[in-house]
Amino acid sequence: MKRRQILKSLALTGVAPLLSFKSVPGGIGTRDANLFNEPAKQIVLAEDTDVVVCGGGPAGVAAAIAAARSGAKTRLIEVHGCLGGIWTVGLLSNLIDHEDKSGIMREIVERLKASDAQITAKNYDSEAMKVLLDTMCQEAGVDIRLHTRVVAAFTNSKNKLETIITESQSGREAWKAKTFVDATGNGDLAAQAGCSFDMGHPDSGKIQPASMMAILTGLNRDEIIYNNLTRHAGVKNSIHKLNLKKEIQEAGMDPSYGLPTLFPIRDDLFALMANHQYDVNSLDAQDITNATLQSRLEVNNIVDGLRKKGGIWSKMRIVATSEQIGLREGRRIRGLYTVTKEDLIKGAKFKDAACRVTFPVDIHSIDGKVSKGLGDDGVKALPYDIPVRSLISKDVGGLLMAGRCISGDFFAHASYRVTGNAVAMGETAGNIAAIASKKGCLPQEVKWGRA
Amino acid sequence: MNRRKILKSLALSSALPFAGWQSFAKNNTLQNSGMLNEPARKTRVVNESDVIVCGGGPAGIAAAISAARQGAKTTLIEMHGCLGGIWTSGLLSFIIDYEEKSGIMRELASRLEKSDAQHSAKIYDAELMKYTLDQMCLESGVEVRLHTRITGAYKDSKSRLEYITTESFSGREAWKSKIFIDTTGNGDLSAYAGCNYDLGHPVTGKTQPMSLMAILTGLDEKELIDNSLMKEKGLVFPGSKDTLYEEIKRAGMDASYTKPTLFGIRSGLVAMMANHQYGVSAMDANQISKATIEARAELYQMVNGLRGLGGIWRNMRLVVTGSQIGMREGRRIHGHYQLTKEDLIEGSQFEDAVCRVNFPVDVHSLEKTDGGGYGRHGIKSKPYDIPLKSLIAKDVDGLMMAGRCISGDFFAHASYRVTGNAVAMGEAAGQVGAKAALDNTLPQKIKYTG
Repeated sequence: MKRRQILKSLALTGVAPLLSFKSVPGGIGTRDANLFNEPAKQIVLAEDTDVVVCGGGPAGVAAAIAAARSGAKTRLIEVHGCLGGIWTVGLLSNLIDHEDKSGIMREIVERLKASDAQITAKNYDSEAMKVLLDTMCQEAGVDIRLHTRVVAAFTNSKNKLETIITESQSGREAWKAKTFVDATGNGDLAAQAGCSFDMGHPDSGKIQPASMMAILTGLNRDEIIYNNLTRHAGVKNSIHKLNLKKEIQEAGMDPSYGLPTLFPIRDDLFALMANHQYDVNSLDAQDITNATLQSRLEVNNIVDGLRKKGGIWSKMRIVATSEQIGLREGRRIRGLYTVTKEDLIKGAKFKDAACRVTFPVDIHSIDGKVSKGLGDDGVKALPYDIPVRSLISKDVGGLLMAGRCISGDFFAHASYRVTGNAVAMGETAGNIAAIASKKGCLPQEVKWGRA
Repeated sequence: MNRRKILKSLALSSALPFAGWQSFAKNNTLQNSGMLNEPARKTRVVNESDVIVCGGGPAGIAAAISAARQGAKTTLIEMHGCLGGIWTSGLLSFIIDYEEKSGIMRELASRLEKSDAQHSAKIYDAELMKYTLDQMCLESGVEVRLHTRITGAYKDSKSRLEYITTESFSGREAWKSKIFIDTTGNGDLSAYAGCNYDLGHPVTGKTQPMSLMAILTGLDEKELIDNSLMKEKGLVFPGSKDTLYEEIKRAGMDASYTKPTLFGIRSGLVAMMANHQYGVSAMDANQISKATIEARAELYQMVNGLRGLGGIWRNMRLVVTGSQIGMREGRRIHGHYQLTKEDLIEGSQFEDAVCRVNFPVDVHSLEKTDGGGYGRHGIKSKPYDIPLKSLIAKDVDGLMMAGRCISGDFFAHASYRVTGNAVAMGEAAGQVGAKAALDNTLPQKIKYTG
C-alpha cells in the first residue's frame, strides 16, 4: 500500500527518468450509513525522540526550549507557519501576567526589549516575536516542524502514550517519544490519546468567545493618547475602551466586544481587539470558519467606518488580521490535580508549584445577549500557584499538558489561561519531560519543587 | 471504535452534565520495519456536494464561485485561515497576466479598484483581497471551510473519485462529491487519488525556489521613486530591482534573490520579494520548515540592515511576513493533454481554450549559481491557449485540476503558473465541473468551447 510513498516509475518516462512519478492510491473505502470505512494504513516513522511537544504557542515554545536545554532530544510540532501561536498567528500583541515571571518568560521580555521594534515588551511586535522564538528554539537545539497537524495518538498496553500521527505536506507520519507535552491549547493531543476532559461553564457548557485581532497603520500615537483612546498614565480603569466604543458607535456600529481596545506597538503601529464571536465551538472547524468570516467582516467594517469619520482616523488601515482567530477556551484535560476557584479564592500555595498566577478571573462574556464585556463572576482571586500535578495527565501515561488545556475548572481557567502563565507552565513541563525521558520514568515520578 | 468521536460520558460527570467528556483512543499498533500499522477506522461523512474544490487560492476561489453560480452545491476547503492562497496567506501583492482576462478575474479586479486601499488591483492590498474573496464566495453560495487539510482520497471500483478525508479542529472527516477540483497548487488531492505526475526540470529534476513575502511600512513613495526603486503607482521597472540589490549589498548582505523587488501598494505600504530558498521540495514539510525559518531570518536581517543605512530607509519596518512561504512549483498532474514548450513557441490555439496566456517563460533560478534571478531558458513564447483537456485528470475520473498543478511540462508551467491564469483556469474548471455534476456525467463528456 504505502499510500504516501512516491515511486519513480521508469516505465512512464522514456528520456527523462527523474521526472515522472506514480502515486499509489489509498485503495477503496466502503460506507455504512453515515460512516466511511477507511482501510488500514502503514505509516512511515518519521522520528523516535525523547520529547515531543505538540503546539508551538507560548506554552509549547517554552516547553521545547526547556526540554532541549535539559539535554533531551526535543521535537516541536506546530500547525501554522511560524512559532508563537496566539502571540503571532493570532497577533495578540499584548502579554498578560508576565511581569513577575522568571526563566524563559523573562528572557523573552529582555530580548524583545533589546530591539526597538516596540515601545515595551508588553505590547510586542509580532514579527520581532516570530524571529525571536525561531532563534531561541534554534539556540536551544529544538527540532522544529511547521505546518504539521497532530491528528492521532496511540498508547501502548500499559496505557502510556507512545506514538502520534501527523498530517502535513509530507503526508501522514508517525512520531515516537518517551514523553509528550500537549501544548495545543485545545488539548487535541490529550483527547486523541484518550484523556477525559471538561469543557465550558459548569451550568451552561458555554465557552468564552473568540476574537480576531487586527494590526493597524495610519494612526498617530500622540493623537490617540491625547484623545484617551489607549491606556496611558492619565486614563483610569476602562475609560479608553469606552471612549473607543463610543467612537465606533458614532461610526454606526455596535462592536460585538463592548470593551474594544487599541494596543500601541510603536508610534505608528497599533493592535486592535474589537470583536467577540459568541458560542463558537473551538472543536468544530465549521464553527471556527463561520466565526472567522464574520469577524473579518466586522473588523473591516469597524475600521472602514472609523476612517470615514475622518480626523485622527482618516489614514487608518488594516495591514494584517490574524491568520487564526483567537480561541480563549477549549478542553481542560483532567490531571492529577484540578485547580479550582476555591484555590483562587484562598490563594492556594503548593510545594510543587509550576508558577504563581497573579491575574484575576477574566471571563469574557459567554452570552452576547447578556453582556459584551468581561467579568469575574464574583470570584475574587488572590495570587495562587499552579501545581505540577495539574500539568500531568490523569488518564494516560507519559503525557504532560501546558497552557490553557491543563487541569482546572472553568473559573480557574479564566485566570491562568493568559500567556505569561502559559510560558511558565511550559517551561516546567519541558523540564519535567526531559528528566522523565532521561530516567525512563513517568512525569509524576520526577521529584519536583520546594523541599 | 469511533476514535475521534467525542461522547458525553454521563457516568463521569454526575453533577455537571455538560462538563464531563471522555475521548476514546485506541492502541493496538505494531511496529513493522520502521512502519506503523494504523488500523482501519470509521470516519463521519460530513458533507455530500456536487462539486468539492480543494484549495482556496486564486484557482480554487474562481472554481468554487463559478461552480456555485452554475447552481451546483459547492464546497471549498482551504488549509489556512483565509481565502486567497498565495495572494493572501503568501502576501504576493502582485497579480500577473490578469489584464486581458474576462470573467471572475475582471470582476475581482474591478471590485478591488473600488477601494483606495491600493493604487491599482495589480499591486493589491492583501487584507482587502481576503475580505473581497470572502464576500464573493458567500454571495455565490459557496460553502467555505477553513483550517482544513486534505489527507486522503478514495475511488470507487470504476476509478472514479468518490470520497476525500480531511483533518482539522473537527478531527478526521469524510466528504463525498460528484466532481472534485484539485486547486491545492501542489496537486495533493490528485496524488492522494492515485494520479501520475511530473515534477521539476526535465534533466535535473530541480524545482523553482521558494520566496517569503514581506509587507513594509515607513517608506516614502516619493523618495523611493526619486531613488529609482520604483515607478509611479508603486510599479516595478527592471532597474528598480538592481538598485535594491545594490542597496542590500551596501547594508552588508548578498540577497539570495538577486532581483529583489519592492511593490508599492499605497503611500506608506510596500510589499517586498527579496529571497529565494533553493532546492526545497514542496512535498517535504521538514524542508519547508527549514526554508521558512531561514527566509524569515534573512528578511528580518535585510530590513534591519537597510534601516541601519538611514536615509530613505530610516523608518522602514517589517509589519508582516507571509503565513505560508510562496511555492512556485510542485506536481504537474497528468491530464488528457499536456502543454509543452512547443505549444508556447508556436502559440498554440485550441477549440476548448479556457484562457490565453500572455506571460513568458519565467524560471526563477534553480540554484543560486544560476545567477539567483530568473530567465526564459532560451524559449521565446507567443500568446497561447490552455485547453480544457489539460485540466482533466487522465488517471482518475471525476477529477479536474486548476492552477499550477495542471498538466504541462516544466517550461510551460513556468509561464502559465502565474495567478491571472490560475483564476481563468479555475473559472473554467468550476463551470465544467458543475455541469458534469448536474448532468451526472464526466468532465470530458461536457462540450466546452470557451
